[in-house]
Amino acid sequence: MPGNPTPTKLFKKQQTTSPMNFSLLILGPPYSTQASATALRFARAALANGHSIYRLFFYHDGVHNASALVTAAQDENSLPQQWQALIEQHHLDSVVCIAAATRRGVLSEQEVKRHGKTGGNLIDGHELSGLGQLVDASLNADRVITFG
Amino acid sequence: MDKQATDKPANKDILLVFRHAPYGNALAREGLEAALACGAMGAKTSVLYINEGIWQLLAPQDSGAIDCKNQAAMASALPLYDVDDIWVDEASLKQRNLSSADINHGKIITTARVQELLATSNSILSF
Repeated sequence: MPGNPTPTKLFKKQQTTSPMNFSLLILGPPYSTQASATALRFARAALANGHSIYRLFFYHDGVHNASALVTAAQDENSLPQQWQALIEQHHLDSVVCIAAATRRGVLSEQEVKRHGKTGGNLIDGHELSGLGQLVDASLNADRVITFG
Repeated sequence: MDKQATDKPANKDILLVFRHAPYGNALAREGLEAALACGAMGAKTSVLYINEGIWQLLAPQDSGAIDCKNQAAMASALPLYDVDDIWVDEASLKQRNLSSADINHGKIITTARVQELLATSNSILSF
């Protein structure tokens, strides 16, 4: 994204606040809306400024961010790949709601077998789990932020 | 992380804000499912219906014609899951020419009280 200020520049003034532990609820799919891209930038900025992320929770259409089948045009960034890179780099806890994902065709190898389908597409680094993980994320983070 | 040290998770409350109409988008349904999960896990849970979310409360709803689960029937399970505080924004009702007679549950509150709720809740999930 040429021309955009880096997260570090944007958030520099707020660095005096004490570190926070965030949970992110991501409801937006890649490409259709800006929600997921904004969430990704928020996560990067928070981490770059010494904050931590308790959990990423992908829900509603946000589950598509965990699909390995998403294929961006050559001159565009792939949000699912960028999320995966961030998760790997910072060892983030990332949970994808299993009910929301199954309905929308985002399946792990295990779910593929269970439902008699062919070919799982859940990107490594995400875990399929239930809404209990969202409740836990809300109770244990200093702030939970919805992107949708 | 001063907050974490002083606030025990069990004492934290979760407010779910419902802002979208019941059909046409799965946000209403999946938001409600999240609220039920919060209640089922014993979290102190409350919900706020605001803006287009108000339409979720209309009774009766016949969603069979569009092959969808009845949102109002699902919402009636909230008290069973220990979600006791169901708030409804008065201004959103008025803007849509609706009154307490049109909705099937919830306590109607003023904008000032809505602002207070949003300011004082520990965690807010927005759908």
